[in-house]
Amino acid sequence: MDIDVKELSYVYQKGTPFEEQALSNVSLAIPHGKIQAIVGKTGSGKSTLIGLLSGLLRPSSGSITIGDYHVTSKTKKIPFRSKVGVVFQYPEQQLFAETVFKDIAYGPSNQGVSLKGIEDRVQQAIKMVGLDETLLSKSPFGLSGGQMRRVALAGVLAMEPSILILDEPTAGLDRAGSEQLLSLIQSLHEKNQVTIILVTHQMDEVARLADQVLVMDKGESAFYGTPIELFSDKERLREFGLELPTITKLINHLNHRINSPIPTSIFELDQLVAYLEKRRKETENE
Amino acid sequence: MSRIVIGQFMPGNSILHRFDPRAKLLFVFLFFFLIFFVNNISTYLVIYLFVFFCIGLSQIRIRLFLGSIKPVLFIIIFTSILHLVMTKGGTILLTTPFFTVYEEGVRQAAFISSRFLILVVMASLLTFTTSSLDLTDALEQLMGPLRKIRVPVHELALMMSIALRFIPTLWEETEKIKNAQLARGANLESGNIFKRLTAYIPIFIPLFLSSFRRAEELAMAMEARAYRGGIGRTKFRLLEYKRKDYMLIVIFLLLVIGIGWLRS
Repeated sequence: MDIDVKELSYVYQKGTPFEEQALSNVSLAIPHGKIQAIVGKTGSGKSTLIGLLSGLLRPSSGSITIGDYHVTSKTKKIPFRSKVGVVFQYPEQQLFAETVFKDIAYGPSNQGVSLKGIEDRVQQAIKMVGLDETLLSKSPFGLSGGQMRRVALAGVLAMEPSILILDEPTAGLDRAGSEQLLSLIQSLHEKNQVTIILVTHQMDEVARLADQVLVMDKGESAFYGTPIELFSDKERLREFGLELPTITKLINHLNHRINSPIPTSIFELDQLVAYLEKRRKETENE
Repeated sequence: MSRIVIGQFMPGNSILHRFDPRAKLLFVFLFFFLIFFVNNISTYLVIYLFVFFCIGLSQIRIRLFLGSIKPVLFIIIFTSILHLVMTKGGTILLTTPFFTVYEEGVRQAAFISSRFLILVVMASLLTFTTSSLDLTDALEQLMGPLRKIRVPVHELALMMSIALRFIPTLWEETEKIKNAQLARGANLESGNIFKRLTAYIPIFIPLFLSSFRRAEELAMAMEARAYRGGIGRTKFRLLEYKRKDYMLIVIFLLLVIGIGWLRS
């Protein structure tokens, strides 16, 4: 399902002295099956945008179209809620059931899936997040932090959303944990063709995963384009308070020392290695 | 999100903000007793005038007071209706096949709801103009003598200030968890009472868990800094009665004399 957001605005507590414009005139288009990154400082309107895209908030003005569903400020019941799965920050804090199975089953059972269907979905979801099936009968509160996060993720995946919103999925995880989670997201995306909206502070994640980036600043869209475009303009990056991805820093560093520069459009270590090997072979042949 | 919690402190620099919190607390406490001696129109007028004068002095918008009345509005309306319908005495004002409204009923309804309103407004005035830190400090000092009969005054005050401190945090947390479960298709709005209560379980359990975790972390942090209660502890902010605080005694006595003279 394609997502089309047009001039979306949101005002908190409209008509009270606490009125606050959290989002103004944000537009974006995410074709089906793409990974969209959203970056920006705290308070830049990211969370509000997520709330709107997941159907938890109703727009103050503008519109959101997801597939055939259309939502404006006048829409009463937001129709696409069950199509959009949201994994909030620190999702392990939302676990509540006495067993992992029951927790993962919560979403699908709210959707009205049959008992048999729920069982299938839970089995599938736990496999997708790479956890062992024996955990299903255990209490989620006895698991490690990384495992709890995967269970929470499985709880969202079991709803079979066609759009998955991830709010800083790697926050608070160690390097190995984040690495695992990121490859998990990547493989989910490749296998199931889910559209992914990734909110993050890590430019490495943007470089590695995203097809498009939206930079938010004070509730407005400050930049909208591809990661290559974003990371090629150092001035603007500084303006947004964003860093270069580690790999781009490395390439820039190397480029200072060699004559023919390495393209900065390379965002994965494997690709860089392959590129350098190719170059070495070429020079050896000469 | 940034919804105002009833009784939240509204920073300001009015005379009411600058009174010593102990003096304010005592004044409001005694004032609550005084209200029960108010029993006719002229005394209520005096009290109303006084309350409005205080609201004016506080420089806090009336609308915020309306906000704090809202939660008790139901009780006020309910008791008023009871009085209108049940209280007998005086001339009959209205007769219907079901009930009769007497003059006395109207009087009682008006007085009782006035009493409620004044109680709520005065309590809000106290909490609007006094930070929770000041308030617990004041309580701790006023209850100080109770320490002699082994009441853990300091600990109680500490518990109160911690509880107050965590209200907004818990509120925020509830919103977060609620959103997460709503996104998982939780249905919190329909069904009978029992259904709705069970629908809230996925919100309450994570909330309890995180509260316990928070409490443990806080206890650990306090112990790490060798916190050991009130014994021999000195204060950074000392409370000091000033001349204007003694003025409160005079004002209170004036109110007592006025009401004693006017009441019937």
